[in-house]
Amino acid sequence: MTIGQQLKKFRLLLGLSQADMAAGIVTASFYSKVERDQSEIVIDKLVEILNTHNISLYDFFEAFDKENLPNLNLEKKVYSYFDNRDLGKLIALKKEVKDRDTLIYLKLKLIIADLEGRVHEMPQNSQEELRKICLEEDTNAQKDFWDIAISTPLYNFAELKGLITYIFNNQNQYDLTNDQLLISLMNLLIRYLDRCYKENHFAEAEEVGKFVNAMPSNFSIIFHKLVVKYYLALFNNDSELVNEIIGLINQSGFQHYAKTLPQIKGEKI
Amino acid sequence: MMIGEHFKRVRNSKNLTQEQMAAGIVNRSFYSRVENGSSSITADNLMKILYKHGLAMTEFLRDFDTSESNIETYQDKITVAYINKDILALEDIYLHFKYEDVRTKRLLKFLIAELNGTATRKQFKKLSYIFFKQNKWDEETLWLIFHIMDWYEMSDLRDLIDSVIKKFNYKNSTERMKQLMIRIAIRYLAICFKRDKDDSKAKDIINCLKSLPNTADMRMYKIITVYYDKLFSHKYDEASDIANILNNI
Repeated sequence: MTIGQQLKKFRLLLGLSQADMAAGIVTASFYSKVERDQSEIVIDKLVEILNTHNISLYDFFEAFDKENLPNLNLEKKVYSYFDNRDLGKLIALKKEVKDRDTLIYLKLKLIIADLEGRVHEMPQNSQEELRKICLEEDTNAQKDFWDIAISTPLYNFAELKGLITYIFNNQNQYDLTNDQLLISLMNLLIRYLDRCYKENHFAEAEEVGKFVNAMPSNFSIIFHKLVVKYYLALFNNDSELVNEIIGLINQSGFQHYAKTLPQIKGEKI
Repeated sequence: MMIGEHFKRVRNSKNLTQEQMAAGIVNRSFYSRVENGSSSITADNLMKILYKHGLAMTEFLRDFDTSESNIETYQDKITVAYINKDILALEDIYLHFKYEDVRTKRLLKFLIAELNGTATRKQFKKLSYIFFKQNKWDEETLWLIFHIMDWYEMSDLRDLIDSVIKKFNYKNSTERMKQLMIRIAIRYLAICFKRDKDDSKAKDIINCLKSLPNTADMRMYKIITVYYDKLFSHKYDEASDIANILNNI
């Protein structure tokens, strides 16, 4: 698949001539050469042409991504199964992976270890490698929070709190209309709440509650907000609400998710 | 934001030098000029660089996409505005509507009238006729149906649901179609409960919904199904508890 071929495909779909397609952004003769892969077009002009004809950049470039980034699909699956705490599917996916040298395979192993409660058994150098990579990424330009959400078991509470506080203080720079960003962020917050509950950090949990309340009401994160509610109910010793929520999650068929949620502890301070 | 600036942001987020980012595909000084906007990079070279670093073009160019040819986003905007009874939002979409499809534009007009309380049965019948006369059972038809379901008489609504089930084989449907069908099914339950609490078709639909796969995208739909299951099983207290939880999220 070349740029020229893809351009031609969309041009024909729209029933346009080469001159129409060029739309004065480049000359018709230059456009013709581009379609025939005899000349290369700069990205600015290509984007301008596509935008002028209302062609989705996503639709145009998706084919190239699929061809050149075979792991992209794998990543999507890993994040989706992680989001759903689907241990069965994650284990099955791990068996399918051919290239075990990749970062995504390492992440997969970490998620499985985490769900099975044996992160401490992971080799130290693997843990270090993951920590380094995930912490290195500038939280500034995050397009999503999957890496941090997946690697939360590798941080001590202070580090985790630092990350979360940074995100809260800089929320304006995140595109909160982006579903992937929202879903990954919610996953991170849920993992954080889990640590808060297990290590008795009540005030920090309240902070999360406030932040989540102010988040947009996208359909894609309603479930996550329900889980946050669950954790807050745990903190408030509201056993009735705790049981209602976990009952609801179980009855809707997501027992495997419910299993990952903590129960009410004994006496709490 | 220009492409050069965006390049810089992405490079910084990965903590790479310009030399590393250029990855030998273009030389460092050229790359530097691309970042500060004084040179343009070819689409091919951009792709080579991004793919070298495992980055997707679709993701990189997301903010530069001004096309609204992603009809799904458009449709979702309309649905959300309708559910939120946001007349102004619908009117705004109607004013700026630039697609060829007459059906959607007519629906918009009808929804605005409905929210204003001025829609008539006559208008609904005409709309219904226009939607189905082409006998084009596609994603858009499914999407259209969702918004006018409330206007049907129960018996016609049941026939409609039967048609939908017949024409759309779940196994061969796209993800989008499945989502739309599920939304129609759930809305059927809502309408049904208001009008006829003992509808047997409702129980069938609830069982269908219960058998949906337990994947992330199905979670809320399956939770809402539990709610309707309680309602149609006359377990009103339990249903009310669920409603309270969901309404307070």
